[in-house]
Amino acid sequence: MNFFSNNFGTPCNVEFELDNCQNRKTIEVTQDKGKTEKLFVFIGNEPVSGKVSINIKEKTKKIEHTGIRVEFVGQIELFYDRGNHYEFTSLVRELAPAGELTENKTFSYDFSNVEKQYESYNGTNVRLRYFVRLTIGRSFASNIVKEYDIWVINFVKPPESNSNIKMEVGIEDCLHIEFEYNKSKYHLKDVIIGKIYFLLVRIKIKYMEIALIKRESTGSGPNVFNESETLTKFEIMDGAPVRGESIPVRLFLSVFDLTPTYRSVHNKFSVKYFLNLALVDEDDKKYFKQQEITLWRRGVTKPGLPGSTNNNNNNNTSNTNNTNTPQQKVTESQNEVPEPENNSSDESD
Amino acid sequence: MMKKNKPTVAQTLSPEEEQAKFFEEAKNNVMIQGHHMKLSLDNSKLMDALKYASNIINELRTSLLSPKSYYALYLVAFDYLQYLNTYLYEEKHGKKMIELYEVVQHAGNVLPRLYLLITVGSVYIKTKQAPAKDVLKDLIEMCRGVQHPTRGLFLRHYLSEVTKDKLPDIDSSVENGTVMDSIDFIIQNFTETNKLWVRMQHQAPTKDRERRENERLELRLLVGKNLSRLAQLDGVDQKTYSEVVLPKVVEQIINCKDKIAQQYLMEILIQVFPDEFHLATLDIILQTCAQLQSGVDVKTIIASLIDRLANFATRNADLVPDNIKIFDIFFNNVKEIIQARPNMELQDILGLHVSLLNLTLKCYPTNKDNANEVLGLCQSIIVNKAKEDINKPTCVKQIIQLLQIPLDVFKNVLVVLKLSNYQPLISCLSYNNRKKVSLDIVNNTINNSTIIEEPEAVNNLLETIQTLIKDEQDQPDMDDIDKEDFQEEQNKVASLIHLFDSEDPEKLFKIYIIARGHFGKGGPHRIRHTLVPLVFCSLRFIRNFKQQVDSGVISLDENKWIAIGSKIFTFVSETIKALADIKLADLSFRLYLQALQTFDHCGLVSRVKELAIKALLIFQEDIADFKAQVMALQLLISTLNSLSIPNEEIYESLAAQTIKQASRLLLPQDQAKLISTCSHLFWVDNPSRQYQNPDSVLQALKKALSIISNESSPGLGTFVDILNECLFYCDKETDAVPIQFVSDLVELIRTTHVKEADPALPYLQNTIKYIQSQNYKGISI
Repeated sequence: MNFFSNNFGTPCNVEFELDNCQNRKTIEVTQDKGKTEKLFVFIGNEPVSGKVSINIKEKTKKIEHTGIRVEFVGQIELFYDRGNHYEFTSLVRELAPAGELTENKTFSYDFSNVEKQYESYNGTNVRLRYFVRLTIGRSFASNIVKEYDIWVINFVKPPESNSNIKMEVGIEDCLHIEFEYNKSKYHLKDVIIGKIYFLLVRIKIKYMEIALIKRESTGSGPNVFNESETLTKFEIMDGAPVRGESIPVRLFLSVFDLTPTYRSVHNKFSVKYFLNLALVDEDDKKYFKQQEITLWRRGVTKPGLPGSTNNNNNNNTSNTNNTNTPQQKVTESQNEVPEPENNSSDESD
Repeated sequence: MMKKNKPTVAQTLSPEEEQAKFFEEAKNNVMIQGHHMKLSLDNSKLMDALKYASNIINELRTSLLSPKSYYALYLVAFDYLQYLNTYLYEEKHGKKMIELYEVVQHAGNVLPRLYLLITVGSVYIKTKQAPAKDVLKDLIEMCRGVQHPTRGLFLRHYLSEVTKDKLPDIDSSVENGTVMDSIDFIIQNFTETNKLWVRMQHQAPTKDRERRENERLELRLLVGKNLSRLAQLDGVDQKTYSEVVLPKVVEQIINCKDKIAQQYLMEILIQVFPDEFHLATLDIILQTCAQLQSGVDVKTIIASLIDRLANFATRNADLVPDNIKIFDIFFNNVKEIIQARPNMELQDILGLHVSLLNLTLKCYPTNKDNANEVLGLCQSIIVNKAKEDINKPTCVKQIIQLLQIPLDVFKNVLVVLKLSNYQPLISCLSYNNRKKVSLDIVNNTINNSTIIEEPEAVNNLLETIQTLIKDEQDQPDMDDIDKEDFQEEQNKVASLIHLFDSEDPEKLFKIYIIARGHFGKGGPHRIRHTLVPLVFCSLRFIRNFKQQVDSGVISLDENKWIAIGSKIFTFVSETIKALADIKLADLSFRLYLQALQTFDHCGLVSRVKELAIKALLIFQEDIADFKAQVMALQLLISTLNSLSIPNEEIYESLAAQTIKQASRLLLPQDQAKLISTCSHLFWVDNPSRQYQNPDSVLQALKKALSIISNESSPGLGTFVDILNECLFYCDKETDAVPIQFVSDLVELIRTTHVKEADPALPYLQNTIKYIQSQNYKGISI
């Protein structure tokens, strides 16, 4: 009822304005029905302040109200549970006591110390929103309600421990491999570097690929909904290796539309990422091993110290040469802040 | 992805047509995508162009093409990628290479990703936006992603092609990379390429093996190219080659354990690097050969190396360091290789020996020990092999070659005979081949006119060619031997005698005795050829000896001389006897006469009688043919006439014997003619002897006349013969024949014996004409 009714027959237009937004980044978010909307991006606990203007429509003489207030809301919306939204944060500012509005009026609001512990998220079955809501209370008609979304991201510090992932897996007398990914936790613009080492090969492998899979879980207990989405299938090997071969892996994450890993956000949902290493033999039989990786959002301010990418043992060239600088470039030009003319991501197919 | 229309066309098209169809389809796609790529580049739409380029390479992901067609397709794609390459380098596309280097890595499929990465990477190096060594290292590492043999081979070939002019060499900065980085890069690419190539072998069903091997051979260049690249680096000097490059290359060659690869790579390795390098690393290369798979044709590899180095050493003797003993290294290694490879074919082993022999004779033409060692090694190997192996034509040919080479090179049989292993090697051959080699030796001696002075050497030579000298156990039946060939061989052997010569008479005589000893074993069919010249040489020998004694060159007292003379006499007469014993009556008769004349000349009178008796005995007992008897007697008469024998008693008894034999001839005509000839026995007129008995002369002539006159149908010719004999004495103005006797004889012939159309009539007329012309006193006709 909030979404639909208030555009029709409302006696006034409401416009939100945010402070300090001339240079603020925006993000395009797909809302319901494929509509995209540009939202301002807020980082962490940045204050949300601004103005809201109520413009009385021409034919409207006056609006009687029971009070005007503005709220800052953080809420989780589960699509299978449409009616129920879980507000995990809510702050209210009263703008005006009950009375009449006869002319256009602009109010300032300021939510300086609002905690935004979760990131905005727009998933398959769940959505986490932050928005500013203006409510004009009315006693004889429905309230006039207007919401204005912002997009929140949180930078986190580099993880203190970030060991590599190394594992030997196999099927007895058939296939033994050892795979290694240089880290277990990757930031969103990171590069996954690894290698697959063949210890035993008795099957005729046709190719090997790595799939990056995102799994969104909603609900809890017996009512958990899992939604998996393969973000990419990245072929890393063509043909059949023999024992002793080691195949390099280098996967640039910046190409993909990723979020950090979310674990049990407000006990309502989780988003996890997995690397699925799959070998396909000549009979199209698939052998695979799935491994979770943790994604985190790195602050922009410290552009890629070599240390932060955890360049332990692998491929120097990619670290010294490529990983740092190019990644920075892409950070600015890729999904987060799309520049108007940038179409380069179609390389990723 | 791969074309799915294969099943529908398979039934109607032959495999070749099918290939052509797949190829055409793929090529068209490449060209379409390539066209779009070029358009995009022309419109500066780099990202689009990369997308199209990636599509081009997608066609190379096919598994349907044969290596040949795949190569053709690769070439088409290559051209487009070159275009892209040029654009990236030359055009202002505003992108930093580092960005592009990442962007292309977003491609989802590994093959297009890597082709593009290599393309961008090569430009990256060229623009100097990154150190070459780092980019190269990254590229070579990433290429591991393609494990499919054909696709991997071509990908790596592409890598090698586009980086070849960008490899750090001696003149590049340390930051950019050193030649060591390039070596590492190429060797790694070589190793991986080779592994893929070898793997092709094992990824086909066994029934397709042959086809698969052919396909592999078509692709070998892709592997070998890497070694050429290494050779092209200026920084790969001899030191680097032997310390860094070669050990790594060799390691891969050995470890790949693949016959085809090992064979090809060894050949190409030897081919692409300079001879000096091989000289310095001979040991390593040869030790590698020893470790190759058993099916590898090691012989060809080593032989070509030997040939190369032999030529090199001959051309640039000064470039061969003193401490590198080429022959010793080859020899020892070949020995070990042969031991290490028990399955090696004998013909290959022998081929190696031939190469070794050529090597030492080319590099060390004066060194005989090396050659002897080679022959010795060969012999020691052969004795342990089965006869049927040795007698294979290919093996025989090589053994013979081993025996011929020293002859050809030294051009002196004496040098060859000093090789102690030479003769034993001959004895490994079968009869016909031994004979062939023996003939080679003989011919070589004759053609080079090698004079053999030492008795020992003669002995050695004749022992070496014994197949020609005597019968052997394994020789074929005499009936199966071509008579003419045999005769020719023996004539050659016989002519050797004339090359046996020494200033020292004692030695020379010893040589003749040795030769006699060998020839004596030859049996009747050989000695008839070989002993004759020996007799003549011995006779010449004593004649020369006598001359030297007479002229004082050699001082000798009479008794000694007689003793030597009798020694030689015994030798000669024994030798002739050997011929007489096998009923070569005519021949031995003549030889006796020859000897007789010689000994007479040398004043050894006592021997003359003995020889004459031997001759007469043969005449009586063994010369049966009446025409031969006439000839023999004529010879005997003229021989006796020529003698200088001082003892009249001996002479007269010999003369008497002769007349006796003449009168025993079968035909009266012959009797008459020979008796008339015998008249000369009584009229000897030569500087060393005068012996004239006119009565006996006339008596002989009369006797001849009476014999012929008693015949019922005497031939005119015989009368004229006698007349001519008479005229001889008239001409000499002897008183032996009275003029009257001559005119009576003429008269007698004219009146009694002239018949119409007698064939001897012109003979008579000519004789009469002669008489008239001489104007003998008292003759009027």
